[in-house]
Amino acid sequence: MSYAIEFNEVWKKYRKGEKVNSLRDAIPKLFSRKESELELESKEFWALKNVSFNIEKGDVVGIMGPNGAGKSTILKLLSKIMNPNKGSMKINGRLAALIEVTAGFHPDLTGRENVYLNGTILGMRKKEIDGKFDEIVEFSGVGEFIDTPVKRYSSGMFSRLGFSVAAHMDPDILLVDEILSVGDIAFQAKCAGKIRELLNSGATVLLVSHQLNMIQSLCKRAILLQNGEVVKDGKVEDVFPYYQNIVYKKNEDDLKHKLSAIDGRVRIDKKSMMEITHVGISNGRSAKIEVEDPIEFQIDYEAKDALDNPIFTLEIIRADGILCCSSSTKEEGINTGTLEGKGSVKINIGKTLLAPGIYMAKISVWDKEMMHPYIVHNRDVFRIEYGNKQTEGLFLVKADWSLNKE
Amino acid sequence: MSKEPITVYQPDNTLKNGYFQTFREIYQEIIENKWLIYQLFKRDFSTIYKQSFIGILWVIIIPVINVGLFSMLGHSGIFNVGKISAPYPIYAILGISMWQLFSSGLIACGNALSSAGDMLIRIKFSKKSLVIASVGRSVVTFLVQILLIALLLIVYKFVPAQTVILFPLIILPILIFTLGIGLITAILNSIVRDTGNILSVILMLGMYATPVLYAKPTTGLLAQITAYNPMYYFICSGRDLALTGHLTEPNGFIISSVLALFIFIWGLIIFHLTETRITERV
Repeated sequence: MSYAIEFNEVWKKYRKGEKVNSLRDAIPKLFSRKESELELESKEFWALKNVSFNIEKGDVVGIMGPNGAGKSTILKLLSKIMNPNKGSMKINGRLAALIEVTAGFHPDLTGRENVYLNGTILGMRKKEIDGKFDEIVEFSGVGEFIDTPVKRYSSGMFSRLGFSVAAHMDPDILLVDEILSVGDIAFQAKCAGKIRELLNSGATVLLVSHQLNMIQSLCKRAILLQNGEVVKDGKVEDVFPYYQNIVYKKNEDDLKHKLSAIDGRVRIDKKSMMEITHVGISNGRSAKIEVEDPIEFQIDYEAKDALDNPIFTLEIIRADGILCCSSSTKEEGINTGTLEGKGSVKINIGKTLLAPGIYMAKISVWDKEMMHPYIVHNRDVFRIEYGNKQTEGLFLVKADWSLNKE
Repeated sequence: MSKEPITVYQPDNTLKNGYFQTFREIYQEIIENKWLIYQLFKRDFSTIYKQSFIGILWVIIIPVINVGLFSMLGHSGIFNVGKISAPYPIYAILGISMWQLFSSGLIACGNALSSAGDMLIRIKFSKKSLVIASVGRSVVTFLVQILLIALLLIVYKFVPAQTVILFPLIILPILIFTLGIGLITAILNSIVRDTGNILSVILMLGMYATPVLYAKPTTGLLAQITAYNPMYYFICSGRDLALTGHLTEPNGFIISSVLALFIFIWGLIIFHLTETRITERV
């Protein structure tokens, strides 16, 4: 079996900051043979570390990973813009990259001139472009504006034309990078159609996307990268949980980081009258909660003063800041009476049906008029998980489908 | 589906290949990219004249003004033209046209990579084509100026030598010389942007140090500089072909042409060996 793409222990390093410090460094570097050595100089880091994989002809493979995992580096290496520092790659067939599809455009030239220019830069021959010209224009939907300088195009027309040229290269291997965000829904559907058409003709497709449902619907295999290394390579459904884990972990860290920054900004007038010493979520089991589990919070507090009928509130906020639900002693009509000294409050919110993701519990204690908070406590983050199923949206529904055919 | 061969990529190993392999790669790259070079040339050319009323006529207007200025300086005795074999305007425009082929070509080469911007780091294509295409405009300029020279010959009723038909061939050595230096300056300019400015200063000094608008000086520092100036030999021989039909500096011309060829080959090799590293450092 011959592979369409082979990556053998590929290493690639980048440099942070300015590329060279002085002329004295710059010129000898151009001719140095040491480039391939596996040593990092100061400010250098590995974008890819020992990455190996093979892709069979006709396969559709998704490349996943958080930002900075090395996805774009792989595409750049494949499209020959850069050389690896160590290891080798083999590409079997003509390769087209639906990345930066308009980089070769010149704003002063007309659409027609740019189709020829860009097509040639991408490696098409004159005859090829002549033959496909009408198809390219038709596909892009630019129509009568084809003889207008592209600088007067809307940004949508501009990228549609670019995409259209690249998509008509008839490649054996196609690299796609989040490209389907070009244009409106109709154009995106056209693009997906074009990709399927290429697939049916036996092309190999490498898809980089953050849109999981796109990878799910098009790919059978996925490669998960993190920090320049292959973490998992296999069937999409096997790789998924790993990806979610990474993304959740990252969201969690981000959220915690954000919260620690916010902490100092909350203005509390009657500070130190009330303190929340501990918040336990679902009996202190790790902060991971299965989607079906009831959720319970236990708040340990210490009132330094006698507080008259304070109000407790609970808000559950998703990692991206959306308030999902809330509850308070006031709304529930609970009279807390006078609090002094230590105590604890339990809140059981039952099964929430919140979609899997990262959430934050924000607990506040207010005075009886709910005018001033004694304390706002938002340091607790928990995660809801749901096997390896992917769900979109805010909450789950117990859907009951029935189909009637007449 | 196309029948593209299997491509293997390894760490940048261009430096480890032998000369023969390097030459073959360079040659193939240029042959395969003929159409790309033409497209890039067309892009440069049409974008320049697209929003201009006078368009290509500028190519004639500018040297005419230059020569007019120098004739005036000559007439008023400020500037001594020296002993020349034809009416001054013909002599000067011949010189200017060849000098500009070199100087504007070199500036275009120097800017070819640094002005390509994003394209370099986003798409893989032949970067040599970009530099080679950049001299295209100077060649067209030169060809149009030949028409101006023909017109002047008629106006001044000056009968040129029969060898005048060989005059356009002077493009070859000058172009090879320009490209050789240009390939190296393109690389340098993309690392250190000062190269562009240094280049325009050198070219400005070069224009006055080369007998473009005056006859070859016989004494002094300028005479010494001229003796080692390849551009002098090209311009002098070009002018001889057009005006007298008798080469005054045949040896100098041959040595300069061989030198130009060497610089061209070295320029190509240096460019070839460094181009991928440049794109990573832009």
